[in-house]
Amino acid sequence: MKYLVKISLVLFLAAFVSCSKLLDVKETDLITEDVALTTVAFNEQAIIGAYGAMGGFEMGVLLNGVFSDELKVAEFYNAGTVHEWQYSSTDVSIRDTYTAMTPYYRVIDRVNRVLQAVDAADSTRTGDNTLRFRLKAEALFLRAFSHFELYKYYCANYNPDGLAMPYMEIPSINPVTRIKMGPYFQKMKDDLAAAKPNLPSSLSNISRATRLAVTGLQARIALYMRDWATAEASATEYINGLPLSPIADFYKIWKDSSNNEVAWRLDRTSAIGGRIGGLWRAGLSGGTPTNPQIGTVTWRPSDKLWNSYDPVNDVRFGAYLKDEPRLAAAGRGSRLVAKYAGTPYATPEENVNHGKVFRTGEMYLIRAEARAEQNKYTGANSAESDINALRAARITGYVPVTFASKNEAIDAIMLERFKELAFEGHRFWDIKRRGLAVTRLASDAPTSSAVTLPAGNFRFLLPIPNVEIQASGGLLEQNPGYN
Amino acid sequence: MLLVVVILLYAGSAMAQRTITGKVTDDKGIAVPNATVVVKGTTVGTTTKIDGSYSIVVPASGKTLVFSLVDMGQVEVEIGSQNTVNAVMKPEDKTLSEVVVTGYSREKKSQFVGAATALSSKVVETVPVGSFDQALQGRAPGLQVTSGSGQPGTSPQLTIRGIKSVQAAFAQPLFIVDGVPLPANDFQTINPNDFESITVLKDASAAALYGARGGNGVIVITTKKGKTGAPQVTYRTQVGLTQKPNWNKFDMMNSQEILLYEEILGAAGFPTNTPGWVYSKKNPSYNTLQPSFGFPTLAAQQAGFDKRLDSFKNIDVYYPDILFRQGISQTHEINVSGGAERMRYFISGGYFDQKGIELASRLRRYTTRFNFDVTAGKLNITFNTAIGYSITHLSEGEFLGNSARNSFQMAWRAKPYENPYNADGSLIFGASTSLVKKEIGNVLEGIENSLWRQNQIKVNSGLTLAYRIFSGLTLKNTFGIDVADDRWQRWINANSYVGSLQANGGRGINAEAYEINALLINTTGLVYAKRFNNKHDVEAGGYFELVRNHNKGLGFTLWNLDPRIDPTGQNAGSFPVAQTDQYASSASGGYGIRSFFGTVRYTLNNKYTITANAREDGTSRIVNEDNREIFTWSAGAIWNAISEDFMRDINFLSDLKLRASYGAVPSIGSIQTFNYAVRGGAAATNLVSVTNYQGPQVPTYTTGSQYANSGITAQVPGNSGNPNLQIETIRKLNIGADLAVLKNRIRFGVDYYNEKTEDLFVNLQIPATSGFGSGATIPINAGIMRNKGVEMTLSADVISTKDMTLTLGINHAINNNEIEDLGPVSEIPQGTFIIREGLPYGSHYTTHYLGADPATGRPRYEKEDGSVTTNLAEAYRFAKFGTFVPKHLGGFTLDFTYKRITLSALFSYQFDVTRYNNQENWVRRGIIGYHTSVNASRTLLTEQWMKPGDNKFYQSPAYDRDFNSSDIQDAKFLRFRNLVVSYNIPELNIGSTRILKSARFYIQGQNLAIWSPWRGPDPEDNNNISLNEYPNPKMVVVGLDINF
Repeated sequence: MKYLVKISLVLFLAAFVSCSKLLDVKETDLITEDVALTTVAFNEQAIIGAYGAMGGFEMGVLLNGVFSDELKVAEFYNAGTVHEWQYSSTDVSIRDTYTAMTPYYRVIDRVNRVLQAVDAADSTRTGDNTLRFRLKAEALFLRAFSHFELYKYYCANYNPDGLAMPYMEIPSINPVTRIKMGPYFQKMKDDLAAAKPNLPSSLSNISRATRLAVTGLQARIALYMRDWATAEASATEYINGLPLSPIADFYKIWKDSSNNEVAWRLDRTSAIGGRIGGLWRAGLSGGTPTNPQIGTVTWRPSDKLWNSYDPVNDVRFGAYLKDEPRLAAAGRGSRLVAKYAGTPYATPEENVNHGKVFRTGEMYLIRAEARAEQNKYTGANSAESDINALRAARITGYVPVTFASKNEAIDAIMLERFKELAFEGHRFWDIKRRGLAVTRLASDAPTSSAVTLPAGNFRFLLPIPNVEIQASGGLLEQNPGYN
Repeated sequence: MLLVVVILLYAGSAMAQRTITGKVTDDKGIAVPNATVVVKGTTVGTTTKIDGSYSIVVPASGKTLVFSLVDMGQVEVEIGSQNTVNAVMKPEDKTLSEVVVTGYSREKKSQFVGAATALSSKVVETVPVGSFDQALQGRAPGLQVTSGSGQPGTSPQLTIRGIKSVQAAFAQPLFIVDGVPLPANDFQTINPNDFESITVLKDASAAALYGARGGNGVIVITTKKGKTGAPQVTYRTQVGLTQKPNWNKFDMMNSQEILLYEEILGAAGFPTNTPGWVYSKKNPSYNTLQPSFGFPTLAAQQAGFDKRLDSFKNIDVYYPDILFRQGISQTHEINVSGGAERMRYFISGGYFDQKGIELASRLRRYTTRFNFDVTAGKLNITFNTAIGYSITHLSEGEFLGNSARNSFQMAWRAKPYENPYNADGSLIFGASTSLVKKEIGNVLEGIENSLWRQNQIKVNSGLTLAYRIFSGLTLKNTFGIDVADDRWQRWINANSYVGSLQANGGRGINAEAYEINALLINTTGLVYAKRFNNKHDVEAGGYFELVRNHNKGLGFTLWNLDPRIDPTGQNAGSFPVAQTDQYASSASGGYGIRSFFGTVRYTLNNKYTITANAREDGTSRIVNEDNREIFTWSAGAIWNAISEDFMRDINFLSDLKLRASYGAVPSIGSIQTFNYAVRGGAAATNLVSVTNYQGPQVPTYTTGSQYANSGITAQVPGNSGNPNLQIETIRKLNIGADLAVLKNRIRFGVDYYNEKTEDLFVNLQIPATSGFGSGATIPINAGIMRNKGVEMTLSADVISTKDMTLTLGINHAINNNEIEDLGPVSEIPQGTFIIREGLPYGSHYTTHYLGADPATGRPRYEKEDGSVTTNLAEAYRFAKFGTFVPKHLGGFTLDFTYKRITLSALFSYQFDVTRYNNQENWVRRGIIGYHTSVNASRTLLTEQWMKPGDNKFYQSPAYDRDFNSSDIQDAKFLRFRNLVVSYNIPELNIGSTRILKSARFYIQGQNLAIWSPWRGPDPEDNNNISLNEYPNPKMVVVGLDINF
């Protein structure tokens, strides 16, 4: 019996020895933060994760259509509070569809983590050091871009003392406060200046940030700051680097068969990124390509937009819009947004299209506006010459116009922005930026009370979601007019 | 402290008059060691030695010796003039009424300070359910057993004394079988006929022994032991039927009625593409039909339409008759027990086969058990092992839930005018339209061509060595292994209609996964138990315990299958489309726990007992080393008042005990965990999951947010981590009393408890600037939840004669749950229910529907100020519609014997509970968005607003009233849960050859009847909403147990 006692004691002791190991049982299948970004290659994976989170592009495209005069209600409508400007800080449509803080601070957090780690990351492959600088530059560019997008959603027109958003430069889960626009814009400009030299000047890969994309963003930021000289200079730099598309190839931009004009795009496939055209029409039609059952149309182009084009000579009309006979035959409304329609109905890449973030057409319009505001509205190198150049690249048989005044030029530029940049995420911001009212045609408005959003209305600034006010413990200041 | 008391109380020896010696044996003549021998009416006593012998000095007044032992009860023998008094003690059947099994010890009920319900094996034996915990409903007060599925072998949800946590709201109690944990949800591979006892530990005193794993209560199971003697052989068999549920409570329309309703909707301006409207005479197009329908004239066309409509009217199929079956079940089992003087064994082998009412569902189980114990001098060896193998065929429809392939949905959803069979009996299936329905055909074709199977190997084994170092001091070690080895397969035939609908080429799908979950436990204890001077009874134990869990899972999915062989992924073709994802993965996980604990009990004169337990657990499941050590404690006292001198004259009282306990028991289940994705392909077919214990606590990265055309796998932050996390602790108070009168003929027990969960996890919003998105949360320890309640049991031996006994019993529990504090927030909406300060857990949260507006037919709702609105946007969401966790639970039992006939009945009930009836919402929605494809309840024909002035509950078909308070129904029920009628067949001899010793023939029914205001097949469920669940079926079996 004694040996049994001995065995028991041995077992007992063995158990004691192993107990410290029991407390240190590690999760073996986790990537913890401390190993996540240890090499340059891992940092590149994290930067790709930031690009992959740029779903805010589609959000902006939809918002600028729904909140403005670009779209009208079609076969399914559950967006009354936003389309009719009824939203509050707890609005469900705003929460579910237009909380820009979610995607953009997500991108910002992801790039900030790279900025923290990339300097110390190991180089394990040839060329890693060059890549390291490029990754830093991409991170800074994406950070500036995302902060600028947030500014457009939640802030008033530029005024150095006005309230901007929190500018996040390090990852943190702690509540933060909004800062003033002066420092906010300075930080964006600094990030862009630091990013620019280390980004590729080549446009061979426009799926990721390029030097010219920085130029485009610099032009856009200057436009919003009403820094006309910088806007003109940056737009000129972009235009010189990337001229307008030949008129015959314009439609190819929207078939993704040409990279004309585009300095940066967000790549989309049906599997990754999804169907941007699904914003207006259910993503993938039923039936077969020869006999498709076209999905529910949720938004159609406004009559105002539709009627603004010369349907015969303006190549934008055919590239952006479509009168679908199959729908007409089925007794359904037949006008469709065709800009991002992708491959034919009921084929796998239907409604799939890359997001074009910066385009030469926009740069001409920025430069035209900057020149008009500097009273260069007519003659060579003026708003007039820019508008004529742009229209000549869009309208067959275009006859140049002359502007008699700055105001005439500005009105023409705003109309041209409406037509050129439709469904690209600019319209609502443009109206707000110029201090105008959203004015719909009666035939476009869902109700007679939703024809006009008066200039300067508080709803031009989106509410900070109430959950964010709560999550910040009151640190985050709400926009005027909301509680 | 206690030791001092003991020493102080240690009094001198008693006055000696004469010495009595003797030997205590059991009914087989085996010596009984450790039995207590007391001179009645005095405190003089001793214990028997290993050979059963004793020697005691009896004072002059001593007339009787009382022999007692846990498990053997009590025997009194008059001394008379003898000097040798031998006693025979029989193992008692009433063990359970005298002993409480806590897992680490067995305590006399008179010394047990806590609240526990001990159930005998009878409550689970031969009950025809695949998972024995289903049989516990209505048996133990305060134990809520709610079954979410009638799939054979599915475990119900068990909740002891209310929901104690938000994070761990439905964490299951800890199950311990002979000292080895047995995870809930593996019970389909366990044979409950091997059980001896089931003890539900509810308060802090006993649960504290289990430390952080005991926070949700503990259920301790012991299995049968052999008894010394010749082998006892028992054969058991059972055959029976599982019955179709009652689908009639929705009051569904028949074909004529739904066709009429389609016509009514169409005529009122809500046309649908359904036969009732398309072929209707009231359809304006009826008079302008074009010849495109293949008829030469309008009249011929109209005649054709009339004929079609008429034939639809005459197809009226009651789909439950097609979609469900009467499931056949059978069991066979043999067990042998016996033993020699130093060795006892119990072995069993069993087969269980039960087909569910759903056409695919079935459980087959093969089990063996080997229980063995040896006494060799001071060493006692116990070895208990159960090994089982089960094959579960699951209902794919039930898994798919809200799907046209779910029988439990289509039984009521499908329009009754679909004929699923051709004249030759073959099935009609394929693309279904609202005019040519093939929905039921598709359900059946889907079942025929798919497989969803779980194969489980289950091992639960424990080896205990107990060595008596010297009298009273025992060193004991239990080593246990619990393993579940699961293989899963989900397969759909390539060559079938349902296979053609699968992704990646429409050639079927084969997903397979494997998981092993192994738990190792070693408990070492040193226990000192001694009775001093027959007055002071002391027991103290110190324990050291190690637990290690290993979990591994892997899975894959194949498409483009070969239709010639099934069900397999072998010979699958190449991947049919361009692919970026990998459709295979694996993960491993696990944890360790290291614990020290101690327990002390002191009893004075068998009247006063105090106990204290303390335990410290350290676990790898908590990453922060500062919070990793978890302390559990409890203390309690019991006053066995019936033993007091002043009670002697109160003759009608035969038992009176007062108990109290208090302690703090943490709940390890409260700590948030993640699951590693072990994908068999698309997320919907993740067949197994591996728990990621530390993931939520540390900042992590994961692959995600892929960027098209980048050629680089994106990685992104997975979660922010939660370094300050600590465990939730439940402070538990229990006060109880036990009373018996009329020589124990009437027994009453009552317990009051008050449990306060501290450091309750509350989800704190973190700002969107964190990068985790607006609305992201992390759980922080900030809240308080309280459960207060009363539990009562009453049983009475109404008739107690030699030939006839009748015992009636009732148990009832009331639980009041309240969320007292949510820290930084005051409420956390959880979809259709809300966690709010001041309300009980599970309070429904929705708009208050007030019926149709008589003028417009619009739905009316209550606004926040109590006024009425027809604008859904203005409707306020209230939390005044009750909770889905019942406040009152209970059961009652009737046990009757007359000579050889026995009858036992169990009724269970719950009330003060409401649930959403989503199924009824569908059939009473009243809008064409639903009734184009969903059959309607007859109520809509009479209770729906159709024209101004109608005063009706359901709104006009022009408006949707949505999902709201009108869908909340009282889910109280009284269930005739179980009935057994048996006849004991006496010994049967042919000549001098014994054929059988005894036998028992019985008929047993489960879920025989239910009374409930609930409109739906089953008011019982494990969540807040009823939608397409597998109802608990009615079962009837006949069985025979034969003892050879």
